Amino acid sequence: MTSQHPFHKPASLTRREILAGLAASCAGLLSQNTLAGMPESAPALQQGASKGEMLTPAGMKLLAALVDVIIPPTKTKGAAAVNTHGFIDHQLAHCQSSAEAAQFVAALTDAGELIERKWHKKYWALSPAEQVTVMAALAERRAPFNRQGYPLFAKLKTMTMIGYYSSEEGASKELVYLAVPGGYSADFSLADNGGKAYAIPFF
Amino acid sequence: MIDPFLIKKSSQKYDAIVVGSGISGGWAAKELCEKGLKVLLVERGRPVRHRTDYIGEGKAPWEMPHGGKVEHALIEDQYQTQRKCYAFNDATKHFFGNDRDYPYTTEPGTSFDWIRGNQLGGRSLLWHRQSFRWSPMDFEENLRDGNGCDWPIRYEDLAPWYSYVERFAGISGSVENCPTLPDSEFLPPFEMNAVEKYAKKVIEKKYPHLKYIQGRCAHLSEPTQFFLDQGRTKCMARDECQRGCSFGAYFSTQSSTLPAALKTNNLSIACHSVVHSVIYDAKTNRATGVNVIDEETLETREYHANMVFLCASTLGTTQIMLNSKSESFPNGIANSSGVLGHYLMDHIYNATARADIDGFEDDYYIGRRPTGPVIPRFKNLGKQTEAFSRGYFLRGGASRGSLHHGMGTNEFGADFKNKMQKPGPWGLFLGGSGEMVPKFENQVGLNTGKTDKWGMPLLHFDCRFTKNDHLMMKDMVETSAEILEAIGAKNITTRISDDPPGLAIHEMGTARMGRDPKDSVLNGNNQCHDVPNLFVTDGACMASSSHQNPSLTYMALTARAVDIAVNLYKNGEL
Ligand SMILES: Cc1cc2nc3c(=O)[nH]c(=O)nc-3n(C[C@H](O)[C@H](O)[C@H](O)COP(=O)(O)OP(=O)(O)OC[C@H]3O[C@@H](n4cnc5c(N)ncnc54)[C@H](O)[C@@H]3O)c2cc1C
Repeated sequence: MTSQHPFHKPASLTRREILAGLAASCAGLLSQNTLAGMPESAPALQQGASKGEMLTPAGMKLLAALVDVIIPPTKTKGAAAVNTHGFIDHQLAHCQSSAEAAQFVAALTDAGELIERKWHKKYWALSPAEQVTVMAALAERRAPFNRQGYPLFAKLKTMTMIGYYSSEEGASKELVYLAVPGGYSADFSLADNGGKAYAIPFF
Repeated sequence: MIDPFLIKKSSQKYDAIVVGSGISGGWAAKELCEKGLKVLLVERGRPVRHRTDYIGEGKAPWEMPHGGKVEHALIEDQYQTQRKCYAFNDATKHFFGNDRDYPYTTEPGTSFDWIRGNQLGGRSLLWHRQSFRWSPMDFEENLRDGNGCDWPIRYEDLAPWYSYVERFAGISGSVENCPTLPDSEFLPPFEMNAVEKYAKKVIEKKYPHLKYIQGRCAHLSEPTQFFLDQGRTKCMARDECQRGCSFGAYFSTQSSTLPAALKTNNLSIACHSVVHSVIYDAKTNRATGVNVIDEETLETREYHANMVFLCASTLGTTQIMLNSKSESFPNGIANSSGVLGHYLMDHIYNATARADIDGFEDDYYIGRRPTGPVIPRFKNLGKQTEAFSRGYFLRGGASRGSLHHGMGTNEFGADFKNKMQKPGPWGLFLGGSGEMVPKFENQVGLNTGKTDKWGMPLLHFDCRFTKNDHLMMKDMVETSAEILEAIGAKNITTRISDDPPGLAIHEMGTARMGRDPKDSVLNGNNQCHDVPNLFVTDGACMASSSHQNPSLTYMALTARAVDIAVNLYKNGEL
C-alpha cells in the first residue's frame, strides 16, 4: 500500500488501522511483503541480450523491442524495463503446450524476417516512428504481415498486458494493487483512488 | 496445533468415527466431541495446518513463478479436470484433488466434472462461502410434483439447526423476509456498490415480485467478540479465499470447527487414511469401524468405533458405501433399496448474461468483495407456471472493469497505456443457479474393471442434463437479458455453455433420505434404514437439490443428526 491509494474516508479503515489489525491478528504469517507494502524488486533490466528459455538472443531482443512499443515507458517504466519479454518467454516454456509455443515462436521469427526484408533493419534498430508504423501494420495485418495466418499481434498484446500488469511496476505503480484492502466499501470514488484502476488477477 | 492429535495406528475403540474432514465432517467432529464422545476423524489426505500451510496466501503475481498460472505439464499430468474450476490457479492448486492419482470414468456419451479437495479440511478451504437457507418449498416439491421421494423432514425440523450453525459459522447478510429465501442469523451484509444500488431500485420497482439483495456468505463482515475469541478476525476483502485465510475470516474446518473439536481433547485425527470400506458385523447388524489403506505406504489398518458418520462428500461417501460389500449387503452397505448411487444431482450454472452500463464514472469501491447480489427464486411458486418444473435464482452484481476495455483491440503505445490506467465501464452480470430434478437414471456406480492406486474401484458416472434442465437454461438467459435491459444496460450478451454436470460443485443425492426403506437409504435422522449406527450427513443424503448452494444445509443436517445420534447412543439404542 502506497500513497497512491489513500483511505480518505473516515468510514473506511485507515491504513494504520489495517496494519495494526494485521499485526495483531497474524503478524509474521503473511509474507513480509504483504505487510510492508510492495517490495522494490523489479527484475534486472535486460534488453533481451541474453538467450531466453524458448527464444534465441535475437528473438529476445526482437520481443523486448516489440513489447516496449506496445507498453512504452511513461511516468512509469515500460514493458521491456520490467522484463515482460522474459515473462512471455517463460510462459511459452512453462505454461503453454509445446505446439502453442512453437506456433508463437515461428510467427515471431517470421515477423522479424518480414520486417528486415521490407525495412532493411532489425526492428530494434528502426527509429521510434518506424517502430510504430511497423506495429500498426502488424496490428492491422497489413503488408508485409498480411500473409501471416497466425494472429501474432493479438497474442503478443495479450501476453504483454498480462506480463506488464502482473509485474510489480505494472500492478502497483501504474495501477493500484491492494494486497490487503482491509474491508469493502462502496463509499469510495474514483478520485479517492487517484483516478486509477485496480490491478486484476489474470489467472 | 493439530500435530499432537494426529495418530496412525490405534487399537482404541472410539465412540464415533467420522470419515472426511470437510464442511460436514468438521461439523460432525465438533458436535460429537462437544457432547463428550471420543472421536476419530479419518481423512484420506494430508494434514493442512491453519495459516502455516496456506502456501499461496498473500503472494503477489510477481512473487509467483508463473504469474499465477499453473504449469502446463503439471495440468496435463495431474489436473485435467480440476483445471476447469474457476478457482484453480497456482496459489490454490494444492487444495484441489489429483486427477491422475484419483481418476474416475464416465459412460460413453456422457461427462461429469468432479471437482474435489482431498486434504484435511476438504473443500471447506475451496468453497465460495455462499450460504443460503433452503425454504419450506424446497422440502415439499418432491411430494408436490412426484419427482424424487418425499423428504422425511420439513423446513421446520431444520430451522433451529440452521440458526445453531449460523451463529457459530458466521453468516453475513440482510434481513429480507423473503418466502423463497428464509433469513439466517446474520452478521451485517456486505455493501452494494453504486450500480447495484441503482439496479436494486429499478428491479424492485419494475418487478414488484423480485428482490435484489446482497449474497449471504460465511464471512466475518463485523465479527463479534464470540468470533474474535475463536481466533477469527474481520474479512479483509482480499477475495483470495481459496488460498486459505490466516485471518480466519471465512468459515472453514481449519478456522472454525476443527479448533472447537480439538479444544475438547476428545478428538484424534488420522490423516493419509483412505477409507476403503465400512466394517459390518452381521450378527449385531452394526457398523463396527472402517478398513483403511495408508495413502502413502498402501499398508492396511482398521479403526473401530460404536458408530460411524460418513462425511466423505457426496461421491466419496457413495464410493465407500458401494465398496462395503458383505453377504448381507452384496451391492453396498445399507443398500437394500438399490437406490445407492442413483438420483445424482448438481446445480445448473450453464446460463449467464453480461452487459455494460453507462455512467457512474465517478463511482468506485475499495476492496474485493467476497460475495455479490442475488435475486431469490421467483418462478413456479406454489404451482408450475413455466414450461419447466422447479426453479432457479439469479446471481450477479456489478463491477468496474480493469484492462478489459483494452484487450482484443488494435491499440498500443503511450495513449493506450494511459487509457488502461483508468478503469473501464461498469459491467453487470446475471447467472442462473437452477435445480436439477432427481432422476433414477442419473447415477454413479463402481467401475468393475478399474481400480486406483489404493486398489479402490473407480467411480463410474452416468449423468446428464435432462430436457427440463435445458428448458430452464433457456428461461434463465431470456429472463436475465430482460432484467438487464430493464436496468438500462447495453451490449447484453447471453450464453448457455455446454459444460456437463459437476462444475456447479454441488453434487448430491446418491444416498438419499426418505420415509420408505424400499426407496431410500437414510431416514429423517440421516441414519441408514438398514444399519442403525451408520450415519451419512454430507450431500449424499439430499432427496432433492433445491436451487440454493447446499453447504449450509449440510451443516445444519449434520448438527441435527449428531444431536439425535448422541441421544440414541446415550440411551443405549445404537
Ligand atoms: C470452488 C468451489 C466453490 C464452492 N462454492 C460453494 C458455495 O459458495 N456455497 C456452497 O454451499 N458450496 C460451495 N461449494 C461446495 C462445497 O465445497 C461442498 O458442498 C462442501 O465442501 C461439501 O462438504 P463435505 O464435507 O460433504 O465434503 P468435502 O468438503 O469435499 O470433504 C470431504 C472430505 O472427505 C475426504 N474423503 C473422501 N473420500 C475419502 C475416503 N475414502 N477416506 C477418507 N477420507 C475421504 C476428502 O479428502 C475430503 O477432505 C464449492 C466448492 C468448490 C470446490
